Amino acid sequence: MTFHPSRRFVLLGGGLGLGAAMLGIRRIRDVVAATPDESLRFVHVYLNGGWDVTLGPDTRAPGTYAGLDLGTARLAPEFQTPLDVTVGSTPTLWGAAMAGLVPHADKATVFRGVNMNTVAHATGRAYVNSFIPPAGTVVRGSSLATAAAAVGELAAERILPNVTVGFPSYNTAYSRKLTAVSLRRASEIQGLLKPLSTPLGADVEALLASAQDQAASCVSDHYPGPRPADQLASSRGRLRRLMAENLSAQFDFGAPSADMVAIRDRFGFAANAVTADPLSVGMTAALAAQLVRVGVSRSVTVTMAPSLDTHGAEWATQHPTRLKAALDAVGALITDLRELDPDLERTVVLVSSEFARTPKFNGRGGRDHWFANSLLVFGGALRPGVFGATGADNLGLQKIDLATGAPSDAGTVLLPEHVGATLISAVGGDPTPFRVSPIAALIPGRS
Amino acid sequence: MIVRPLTLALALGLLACGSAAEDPPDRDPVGPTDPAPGRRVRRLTADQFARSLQVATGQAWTRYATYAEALGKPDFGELTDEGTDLSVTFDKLVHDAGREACGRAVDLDRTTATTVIMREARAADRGDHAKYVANLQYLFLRFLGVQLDAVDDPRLAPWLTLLEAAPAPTTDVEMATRWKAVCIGLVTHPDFVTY
Repeated sequence: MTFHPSRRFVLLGGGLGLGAAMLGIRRIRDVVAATPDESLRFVHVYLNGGWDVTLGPDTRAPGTYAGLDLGTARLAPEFQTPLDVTVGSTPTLWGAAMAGLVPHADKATVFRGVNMNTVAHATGRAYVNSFIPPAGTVVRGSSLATAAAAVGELAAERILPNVTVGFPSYNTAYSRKLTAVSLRRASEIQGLLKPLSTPLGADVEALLASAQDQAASCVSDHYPGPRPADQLASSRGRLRRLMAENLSAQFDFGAPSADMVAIRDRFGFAANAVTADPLSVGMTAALAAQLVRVGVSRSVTVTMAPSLDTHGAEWATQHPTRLKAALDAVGALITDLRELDPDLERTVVLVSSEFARTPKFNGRGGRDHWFANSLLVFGGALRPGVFGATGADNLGLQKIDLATGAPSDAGTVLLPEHVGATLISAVGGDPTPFRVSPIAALIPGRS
Repeated sequence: MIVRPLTLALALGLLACGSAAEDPPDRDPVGPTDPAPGRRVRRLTADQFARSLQVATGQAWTRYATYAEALGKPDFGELTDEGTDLSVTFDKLVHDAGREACGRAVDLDRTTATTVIMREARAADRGDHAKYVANLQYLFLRFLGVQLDAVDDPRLAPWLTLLEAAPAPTTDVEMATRWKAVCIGLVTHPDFVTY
């Protein structure tokens, strides 16, 4: 496929030069937003530490349960009352920490009672990386985001088709250009996008680029593995395009421009977050949104930190506030993405954590690790609704009928690979690596 | 069972720098496989790169602490694996590091008697092909560990072009800029960032 600079890039390149003086970034953002984009956009938000699903997607009405202690009285008042939400056509309850996601319940698919088969962080993290059972703590297969990045033809504008922030990424089966660009935290995007330091002058820069392209490596063509020179050449090609597009202003989250002020307001972070709060969940969500909106990325994975791993009495204070902050940021992210794709027809947002937390409190007033997890998917790829269940009285795993999602003694316990296979199949990818059949009942047009 | 050691030995020989390309080694009949872990070409870790840059140029990258994790250094909190991808991020930061270190090294070379980059050819030696070649041979040995004895070695050609291309440098500053570019090119060379 021949690459023709698109209207988007022409406008971005020229607009950024003029923007500061005349139009500002907002105008450019509007132009980008108006640009048709038919390809899949996939965002995976990983909540670090193991979320308490009773405060979020798998809560109960306050009351007495034999095997479950909701701890309602320990919570601040704003977290005590769950929210009545209709997901698809299913009336259900969401924890108050999910308030920011309620506007998007029409496009939500809630998986409940997903058996993580582990209560070890590293193993659970590996499982929600590829959604294939890990080998101990080692991820098997490719990251789900990489598999999503491989769906369909990749437009030339996707200079960074797969980006991950604070989350390991793997590519065992797909084109090398789909291997994720990895950042440890959102603030590092500026280091990647800002112009190269110490310009040498256009003529010498061109000579240097030419010499780099012609320089021979000592690794033979017969070397059976990937040749570093080839890998570097691929990365360098994308780096040159990144530098040529001059995208750094689009990600300068501390800038005083009207557009950046609007982004900070939407995602709820301060102008100094880049330096003072580099793990800000709002800024992390904003980065994911911008990467997709500007059009350089198809698939983005972000870790929301700080940790939700609250084993002591801080469960009552830190866990709900941190969870709400992260999910509010996810809500803002989806709101942002719906400006481009109102019905999320081409957009999937997956929200995961490595496992849930115990239904009863430990001796320190906190909750430990629990198998029965929930996963959230937003987007038109799946039918909205609640699929799967946990024991109403004990948050235990339950077998379900995969045709309906309802509990069934003759059914199957839901596993992460069911979610992975279903999601990838629904967006047109190959579910074979998951070694389970996609859940047809969740995919529009297949049941 | 003697075939496998012979195959490995041949593969090792082909890995060596400067070896002539010969017939490809026998491959597994079902297709090529990844090299054994011990024989795999590896990217420098973040620390290795920073130290190598300092040794080669004599200058430290002042922003290393800021970008060490982006280069793949684990924090041993959330991430314990050393990142060694030859990614866009890595290439960008290596370019930044090389530009800073090479810029300072060449600037220092112009003002001190002891030189690191412009050892065999000074900025005033404009148009002196023989000195260009001698200095490039020295830099290849310094940065890449490759001894180039022949003055017409093809591996010198891209760098000689960089130094000699029109418009030819007419000032010491312009000549020094060309040597900075050569230095940056060697820092970003695949053989510098891998082993």
